[in-house]
Amino acid sequence: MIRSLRIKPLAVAVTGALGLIAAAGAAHAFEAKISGHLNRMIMHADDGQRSEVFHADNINSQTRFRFTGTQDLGSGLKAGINWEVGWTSNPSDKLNMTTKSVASTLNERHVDIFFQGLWGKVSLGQGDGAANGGMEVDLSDTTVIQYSGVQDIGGAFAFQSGGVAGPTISATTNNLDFESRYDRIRYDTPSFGPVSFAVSSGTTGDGFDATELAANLATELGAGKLAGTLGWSSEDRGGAVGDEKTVGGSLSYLARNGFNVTVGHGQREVDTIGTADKKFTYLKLGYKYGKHAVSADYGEAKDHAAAGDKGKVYGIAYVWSPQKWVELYAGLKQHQLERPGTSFDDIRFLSVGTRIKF
Amino acid sequence: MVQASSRPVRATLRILCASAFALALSACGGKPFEYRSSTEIPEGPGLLTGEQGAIVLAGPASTRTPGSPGRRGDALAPADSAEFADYEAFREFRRAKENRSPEYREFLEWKEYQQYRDWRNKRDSGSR
Repeated sequence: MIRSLRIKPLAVAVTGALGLIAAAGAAHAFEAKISGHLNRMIMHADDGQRSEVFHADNINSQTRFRFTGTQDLGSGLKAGINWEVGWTSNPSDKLNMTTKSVASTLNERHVDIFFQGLWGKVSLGQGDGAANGGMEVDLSDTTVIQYSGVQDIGGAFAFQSGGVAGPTISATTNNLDFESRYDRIRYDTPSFGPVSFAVSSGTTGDGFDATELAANLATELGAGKLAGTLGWSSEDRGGAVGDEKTVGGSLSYLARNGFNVTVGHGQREVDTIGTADKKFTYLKLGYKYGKHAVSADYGEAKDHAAAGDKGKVYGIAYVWSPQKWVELYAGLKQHQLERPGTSFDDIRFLSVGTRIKF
Repeated sequence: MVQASSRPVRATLRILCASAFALALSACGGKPFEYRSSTEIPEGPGLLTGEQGAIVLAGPASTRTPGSPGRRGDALAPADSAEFADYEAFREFRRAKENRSPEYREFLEWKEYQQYRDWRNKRDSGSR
């Protein structure tokens, strides 16, 4: 009896979804799709005290699947859904020397309804904030293993000082990419030439109200392509922290000959008097040739975990895409933490893995 | 120490700088393209889904994955109907036109090239 009660809601949902598909009128274009990818890697980590090998889901682009559907409503209006779910076993940003295994979890990424017309697009539900990804615009084609979100691989590892664990990589070197995904309402303007704008407002996963603004650019320029985002966000965290404001952006240029350069800079401030602004700066140089892409990057974070902290990361990456649906990659990076009065060991990662779209 | 009173001013300045930067770039006048983050699910074909890159549950009959649920009205326009396929192609063209997609811009360039060719042929025949 209990079993049947548990199954019933699922059966009703599936029946309803299939019924919706079947009932869609023939007069308007209707489309429903399932797609996704798996992204797994083997990661060797050395924190100066010990070294270990980990099997991880690469959080640069975590394993996921999605259902998407659109329906023309006539008069140039379109309605749609985007339901995307992540499925990660051993996420690369949660593993460390004491946690070699993390149970699989389903995590919501997008549960989004949208309406789109010549006037732009309104989205309602869980999804990207207007500025999410604004610090991560990148045309290098090596982002699957190397991008400004340097905390996504090895973020939970702690810097060691004489065998004593200190702050983690995530706490000291973070790309300050605004408010990520949350429950919000978002409006995207139509494109004005190569520029578009977006605004969103909602409640973040931490339960704080957030507002974001972004200006996006994507244009062919000279003998190449230029893409970038400038963003601003405010999260009302209350108490002594008050409003946490982030401003920043990133810009990436890909020349026709394959050379590419990516830069990013962001700052975050809180209302607390005497608290230094957090800063993050990123530079990446890359080269693409046929099915191969290589890059080298450098990132620097200031005043994240404590005033005076300077977190640095530099690395190299290689991605080979023998088919459009598969990428094989390798990356090597080193994190450093400089803190007045304390000496920390560097943390090194060598990662090899593959992302396959199914 | 950071002065609290200077913060709104600095924030405003940053937003103004950001807006000015965006507007300056927009003045470049280059051709727009659709940027997609490569940390998202990649575009293009998939291991199991072939060229479609997705299991198509419902949509134009010519693109639907075999075995997926159909929809009302399919019987009126079977997948092998040349007229239906032509109609779907027309709708795809209309969507491309609305979105000013690269394919549509290429189509406009091709049309312009046809006009140029006609003009050149007329000019050449006139000069003979």
